[in-house]
Amino acid sequence: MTPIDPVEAAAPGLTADEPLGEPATARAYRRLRALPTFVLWGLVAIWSLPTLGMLVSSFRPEDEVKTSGWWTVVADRSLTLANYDAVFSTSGTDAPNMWGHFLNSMAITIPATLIPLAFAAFAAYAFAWMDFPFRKGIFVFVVGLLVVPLQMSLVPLLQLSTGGAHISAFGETFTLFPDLDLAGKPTSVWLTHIAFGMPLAIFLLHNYIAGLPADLMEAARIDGADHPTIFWRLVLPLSVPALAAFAIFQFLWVWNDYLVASTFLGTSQDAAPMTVRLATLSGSRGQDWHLLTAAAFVSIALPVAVFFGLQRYFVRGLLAGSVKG
Amino acid sequence: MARLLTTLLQVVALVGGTIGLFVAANAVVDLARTRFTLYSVLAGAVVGVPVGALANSGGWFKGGALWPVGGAIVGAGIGALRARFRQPSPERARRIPDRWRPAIFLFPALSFLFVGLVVPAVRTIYLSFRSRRGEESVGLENYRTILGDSDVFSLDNAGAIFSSRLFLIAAVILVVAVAYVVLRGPVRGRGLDAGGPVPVVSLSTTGALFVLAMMGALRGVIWNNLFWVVFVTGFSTVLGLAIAALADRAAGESVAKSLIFMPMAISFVGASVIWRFVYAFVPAGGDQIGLLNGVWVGAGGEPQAWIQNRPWNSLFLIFILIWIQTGFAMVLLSAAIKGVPHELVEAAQVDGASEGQIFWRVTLPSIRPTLVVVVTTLIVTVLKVYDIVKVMTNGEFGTSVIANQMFQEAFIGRELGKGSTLAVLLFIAVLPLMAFNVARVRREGVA
Repeated sequence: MTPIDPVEAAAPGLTADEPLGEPATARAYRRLRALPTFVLWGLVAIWSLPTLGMLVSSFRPEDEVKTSGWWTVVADRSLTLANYDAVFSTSGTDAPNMWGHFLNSMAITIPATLIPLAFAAFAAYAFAWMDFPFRKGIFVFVVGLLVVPLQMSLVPLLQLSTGGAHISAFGETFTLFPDLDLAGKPTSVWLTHIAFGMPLAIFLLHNYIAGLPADLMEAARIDGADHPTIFWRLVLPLSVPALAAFAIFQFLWVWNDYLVASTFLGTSQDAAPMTVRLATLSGSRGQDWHLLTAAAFVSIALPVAVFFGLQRYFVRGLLAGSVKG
Repeated sequence: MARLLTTLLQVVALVGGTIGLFVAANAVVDLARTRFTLYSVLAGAVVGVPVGALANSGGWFKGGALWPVGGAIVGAGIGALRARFRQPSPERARRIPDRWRPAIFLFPALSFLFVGLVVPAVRTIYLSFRSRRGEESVGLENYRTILGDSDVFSLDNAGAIFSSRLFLIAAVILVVAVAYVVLRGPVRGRGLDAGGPVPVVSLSTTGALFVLAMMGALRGVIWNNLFWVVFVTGFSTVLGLAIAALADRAAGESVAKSLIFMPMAISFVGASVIWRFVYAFVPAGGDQIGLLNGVWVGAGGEPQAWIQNRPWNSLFLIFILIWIQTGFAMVLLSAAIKGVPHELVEAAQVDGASEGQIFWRVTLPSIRPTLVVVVTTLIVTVLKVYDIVKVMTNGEFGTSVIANQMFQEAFIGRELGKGSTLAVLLFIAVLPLMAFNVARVRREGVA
């Protein structure tokens, strides 16, 4: 890989940075040993350049973004915040209005992250420390649900949110699920995300809660604590790391979701999250790279910040969710 | 802002309400020990509410909120009668709380699972055998139409696979590799030795080349899904493993790994916009603004419309998901590599094994369980890929996959039957993985 240096070839071992008299084979070997480092950092560069290019372009003036490569910024350093003003603007018919969509994303993500935490913790505790018929069977069923593609639920859930569920019997119509008038409302999206996130939430929390020391539970029971007391006083405080891991997981998943949101909300300004807005911008103003790069950065800023800030918990969740299976 | 506040109020109401109900339900069953009559009346009332609501709805007896309330009263009455005439022994009454407790703990989670996942999935299967809007049964008609659609599945050009150059190269590599393994001969007492770099690398190269040959010849949404699964799973795993191994104990390990991992935090839509910019195309003569064409033209090539030129355009879309998922594979495999027992590595070093030998003969076999987990998780993720294709090409230029076709049929064409059929095809594809996961969890005794 390394090109042969004519000086070295002529007088081996005489280049300044190498010890005098080093045999040619040893030198070649030493260089070969450095190869993995080059490969590693080469891959890191390939992995980072696209994001870097987007970030740089989002600060370049519109006419320059559209006419020259972002790497020419090295020579011509004119930077501006105008693109960010433009993506937050609310005037005009196709205004990006990213701040409005940022709030929409929050309105979907917060409930979709917090609610399953509470519900799944109850269930995970029951699977781990209670005794009831079909305990294993139900838990294995939940594990099976982990891999069901969400496409399997979309059509019926959309019907449910637009009209409820009804059944006809004895010449009458019975309502199994009422029409809650959820069509086009963010509520329909986060309710759906709660359901989709539930198997992983139960699985992750169960792995953690089942690993708590049995002696502790036994001691609490001997002291006269019943299940609700043990759950609130002992298990919940001890499970904070697992709860945090799942919360980050679910936050990233819901914030980054596009399919569920676009199915239930369409492109409505009042409800669609940032991913949906970014996708429509990419379609309607596909060549306006000054807007697209800034809008993309705005939409990924929060998850990337959360990710770097809480990477430790995220990795822990990833490992618990897959390896320990 | 007002919207956000409304949402927060909804959250507080829902979480507070559920936790309140949870606490109340626990308190009610606790009553069974000390005051059985009160317990029985309250429990009867609680069961009566949904029964009353169900009987009321749809207008069997029109009466609005009266019906749930009536149900509660009737339920309470039945509860009182039971307490009066079938009072259990104190011994049995003491066991009642423990019997109902699991149900109380499981109810919130399981009700979401049933309403949001299980029932809809069953209904999707049902709809796949029904007409356009589900009005009448059509048997297997939807499946026949879908699989007979040459945009979805076609074998027309299959012969071209075997005459392509890629197939020839793959065949040559395969023959050479087999010859190598046979000539190297059997290992003591263990038949042919298929371990080590040469067989593994040559077999996976052969596989990749063969799938590329298929990609050059076969058209259809289902084939595209297969190509996505093979390439994303294969390359993410191999690259993730390579990076995990290269970064292990290297200087700047954590920085390198963080940067590779970062795309995991970016939405598929965001990643697609980032890469659409990398692949941007300006006709010859203008300055290129996309990185790939910038490099390509800089090296003397003609500018290319990467995401429009069939059949290899899919590869450029596929690479986006590889970019996202490699970090996932790397994190899991890196943890596995660090988990390989030190004694094992040291023993190999004492025996004079080189670093390469240690990797191929010690590390790789030790992390096999994690490799399996990575591969299965990736397959499940890749099978349902949708966002990237939607943003990059909207399924044009022969890049559509099953999930995009499903969205098209169900939500744009309003063909619920056919849309459901495509969803069921995805479901069938994950069934083996589901069985595999379930078997693993049972074997490891987690449950």
